[in-house]
Amino acid sequence: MEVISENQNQNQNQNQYQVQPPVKPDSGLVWGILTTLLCCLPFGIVSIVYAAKVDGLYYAGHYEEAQSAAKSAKNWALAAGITGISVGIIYLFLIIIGVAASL
Amino acid sequence: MSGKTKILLFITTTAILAIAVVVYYLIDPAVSSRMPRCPMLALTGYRCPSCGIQRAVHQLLHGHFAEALRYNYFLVLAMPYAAAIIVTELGAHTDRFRATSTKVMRYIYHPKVLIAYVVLYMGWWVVRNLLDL
Repeated sequence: MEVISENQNQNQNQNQYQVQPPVKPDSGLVWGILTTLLCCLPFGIVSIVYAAKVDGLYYAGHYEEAQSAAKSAKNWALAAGITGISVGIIYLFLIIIGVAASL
Repeated sequence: MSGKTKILLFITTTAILAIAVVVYYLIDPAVSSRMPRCPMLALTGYRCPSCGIQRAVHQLLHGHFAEALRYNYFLVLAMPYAAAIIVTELGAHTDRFRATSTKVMRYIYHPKVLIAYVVLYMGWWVVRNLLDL
């Protein structure tokens, strides 16, 4: 066990001081959280689940996997946001029609 | 994303946000029939985890925290969490707070924290429908 943790430590040290590691990919978590909160979209949940993978992968040194998880997270957040905004616009449109019809 | 699209996106989101703030400040969704109803509630009769957010936002904009929470108790958890993410994300872009922000982010973005958030969100969904919250 100790050997393993030492190895891990070494790995981390190498990651920190040797060649500089790539910047931690941005998973767009803000958007995942906000969409789940504001428009109750299952897409937001998928986004958060992907975002959850990013940090673990990144700190374990799997930069490429972290990158692709972050990308998925961002895409799902984007999908959630677009769906939310579209639904909002459709609602707005219907309300305008409704108001116009009642005049 | 190129610099130009980023700026455009920033301006659009800020504009939408500003309009939304004005609308939700002026109109109380609990009273007005003009505000959109939750599609899930309308279709199934069950509340979604975010039901009550519009009424809560109206109360929040008027500084009534207790009233806001009564519309959606999940806000107790979600508001500070969302605030923490936004603050650290912004902080990470400044020289002064970069170190602290990235340190805090390791906790906020921790996989276990995120999974816990998802589980609590789902749990809240079930509980609020069972207990009629």
